[in-house]
Amino acid sequence: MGANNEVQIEIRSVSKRFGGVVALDNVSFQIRRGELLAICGENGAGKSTLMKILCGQHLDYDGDIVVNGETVRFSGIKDAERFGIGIIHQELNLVDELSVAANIFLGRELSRFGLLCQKTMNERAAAFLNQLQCEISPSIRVGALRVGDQQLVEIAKAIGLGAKILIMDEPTSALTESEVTRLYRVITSLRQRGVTILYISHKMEEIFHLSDRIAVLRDGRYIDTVDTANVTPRQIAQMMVGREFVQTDLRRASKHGENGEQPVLAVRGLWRSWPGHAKHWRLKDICFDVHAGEVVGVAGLMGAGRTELFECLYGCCGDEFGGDIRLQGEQVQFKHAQDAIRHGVSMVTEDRKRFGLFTNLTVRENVTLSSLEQFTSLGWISSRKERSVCRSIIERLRVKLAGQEAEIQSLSGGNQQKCLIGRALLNQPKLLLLDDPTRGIDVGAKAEVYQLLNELAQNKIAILMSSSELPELILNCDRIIVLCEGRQTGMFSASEATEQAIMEAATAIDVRDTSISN
Amino acid sequence: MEFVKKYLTEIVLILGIFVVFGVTAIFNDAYTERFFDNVTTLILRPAAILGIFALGAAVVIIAGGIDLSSGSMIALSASLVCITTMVFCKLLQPDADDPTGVVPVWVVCIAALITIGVAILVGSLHAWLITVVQLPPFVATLASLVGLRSLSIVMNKAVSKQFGAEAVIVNIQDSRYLLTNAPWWLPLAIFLTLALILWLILNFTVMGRHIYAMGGNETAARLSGIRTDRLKWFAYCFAAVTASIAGMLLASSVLLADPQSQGTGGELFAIAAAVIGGCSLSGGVGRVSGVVLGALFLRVVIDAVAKLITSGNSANYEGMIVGLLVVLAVALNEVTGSSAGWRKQFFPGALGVVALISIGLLFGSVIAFSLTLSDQVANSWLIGIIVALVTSSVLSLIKLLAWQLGKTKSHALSKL
Repeated sequence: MGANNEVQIEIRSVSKRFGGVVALDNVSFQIRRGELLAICGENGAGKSTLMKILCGQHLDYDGDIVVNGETVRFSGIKDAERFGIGIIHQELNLVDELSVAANIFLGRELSRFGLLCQKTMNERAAAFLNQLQCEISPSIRVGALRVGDQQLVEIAKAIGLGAKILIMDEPTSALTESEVTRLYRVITSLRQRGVTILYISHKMEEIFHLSDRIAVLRDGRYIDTVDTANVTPRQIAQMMVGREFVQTDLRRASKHGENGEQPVLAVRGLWRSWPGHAKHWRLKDICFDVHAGEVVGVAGLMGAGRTELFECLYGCCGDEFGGDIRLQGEQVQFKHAQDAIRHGVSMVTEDRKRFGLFTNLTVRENVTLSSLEQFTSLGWISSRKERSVCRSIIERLRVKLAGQEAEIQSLSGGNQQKCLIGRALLNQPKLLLLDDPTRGIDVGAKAEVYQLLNELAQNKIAILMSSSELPELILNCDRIIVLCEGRQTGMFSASEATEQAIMEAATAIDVRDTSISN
Repeated sequence: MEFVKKYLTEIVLILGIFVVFGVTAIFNDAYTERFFDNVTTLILRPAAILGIFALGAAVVIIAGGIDLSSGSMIALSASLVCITTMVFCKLLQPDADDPTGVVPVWVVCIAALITIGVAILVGSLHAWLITVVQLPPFVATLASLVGLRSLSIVMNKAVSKQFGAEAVIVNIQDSRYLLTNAPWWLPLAIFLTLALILWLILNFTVMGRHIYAMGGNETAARLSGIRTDRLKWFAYCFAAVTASIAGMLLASSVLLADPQSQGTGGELFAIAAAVIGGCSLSGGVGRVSGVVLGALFLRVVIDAVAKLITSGNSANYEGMIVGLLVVLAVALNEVTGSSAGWRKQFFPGALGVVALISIGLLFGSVIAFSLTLSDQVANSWLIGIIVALVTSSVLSLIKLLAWQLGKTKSHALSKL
């Protein structure tokens, strides 16, 4: 696997700011020709930002990128492609309605006299896919493929572009085990052809299996690059967080539900339909309880149905769903988020930007939005009360900001998230649903969110949270339920929960499903 | 400074109103000779009528939608108020030659209530199409734009046939209801009252806050427990009711209903006033003060052109003015809001070349056409060609300058 010491890309003091937030701070390191360099760092460490600069998505940054000894400044993604840099995004960039071949040749279609050469494109696409040793028909619609196959189409597309440097952003996050094995095979064959690979992942097992070297970023700063052979996963984890893992036990000592107290939320046999999909259901046979003062975690890979579960409980589910959902004994099935809020259920959504923030409103207006009724009479807002309520919640959650009237976008991700948690708390919920509450916020803010979860649980609020990071769930939750492809495949108490056990449950694909994917 | 930054749109509009008014006063002595008459009948009254339904358009735009139906809603309301009045009069005095010669006040009141009731029904229909059938607002109200006007024509014909002779135009004879016989400030008072109510709703009530939230991020609003369907219902009903009030005022200003011409293009004028007043078509942004001034500014400019173009039908120029103002207002918003600002390159590549040629041609031909129509200058076509050439050259110069600047900038960057 021709890894040598020749430098292919050098990153020289690259910095990038988003408004007031420093995403990358003077990052410099080198990428060698033909190597597989794993890039590690927690969420918000700046990995994705750096990769977006490398592939020409972010054009506005300080510092230099040197490719093959030449200082380059890409004018866009196309320009980066000319230098042989391709990227496989975590969220795939394919057009569902077009065929595999059409996707592979998207933007550079082969044509003669202005007419498309369908046949040639199909043949070439088949050739690319063959190089990857996978059998996908080039004429099939991409939307009909499974995620793992779609990813291979993306890789074939990058190869078609003549990529010499391939960036893979958490490529296995949505794959089944057999698909991961196939991806490893593809990566091996790519490296035999001399392709340099930048591999972003959170999963130590993969990193240590695949990589030659590991580069670590933390809070936008470059920490170090080490040879994989000379380190242990534990050392890498330490470099990522910058301190020894202190397993502070945030979990509450009391046992919940053992003395027969009624749970705040009891779910039995919950199902949710999936119209138009071969599987017919997104969720099936989900059963669990959440007691007052208890934090229950929902684990699962991408597409396992975590967000879909939250949507059913919060009444913002677009599909038909059913089963027995009891809130303090009363059977409920919410039709609208307002019903849920009135029954004491509040949710903080997963995608802050798309489903949480109102960028046209101030911090105060964002925080008080769903609880305005508390300080209104006859629909009239008392601005004095509103301000004081907002001030007290901001102080309680320790939000750092210039003032209530600041623009919500001027806050850092962590403080924005606290504002959204504040919005949910102002509804005085009995049950708080937190869908990946630490997504995209920095390490310090995460710790504060954990602290807050603990405080809320001590105040007897029942909390159901999901996270894409297992250590986070293990750290915070009294119990963890595991979803896999819409089914509940495990339930662990705090003492039983290990990453290993949860991951096994989360990838418990039955034989039938595996046979389809191959 | 905060204040200036926040209310920049309003400040610019007030300045603009005075500048346009002042320039018109210099070139045309109508203002100086009959100042009061001119300001009340040619500016304030039409501006108030325009402003009334612009408020409705603005609410819908702030709520993140669009209402294209106001022009046709105006026609329908004008027809409805006249035709119901006529029907009542005929029923009261079946044998009179001139049944609408003396119309009791209560009849007019009932006709107005019926009209507003129908407006609420139309608004509700829009809300239903948008929230339940899930049509895009553009499509739902586009259907009304074409549908309501032809409905009014058919309605007028059918009802008048039932009660006498078939006719599209419905006349009311009782001149007491002519708007010019009412105090000049009446439409203005209605306008300002509606503006005040809307201002209070948008700024001080839960519903107002929710409307801004929905316009800014509809999904997030729904997830925050906001009943977005009800808000849309309110927005589209408010738009329809304001249009119907404007329609009734318009009918009373000529004492007849003519669905073939009344309110044509009204929807675009309303949207233009809202946009000039600082509403963003992507939703969530806009203030009542801006919309009020936007309507006034639009009217002042239209009136100025009518005063300055003394021959021919000045109404023919209205479309061009509205188009130009809307493009300028939105472009100004975009340019001041974007990070590149004025350093942005406006005429890049081949499209830029085509754009600067077509802007030059547009300016030249407008000048040539209007000079020819005014009969004041002999070589109007020559002047037009010169204007076209000069405009294109000036824009080309800007293009070249920006290109040079861009080159030195990227050069400097690569050296760093």
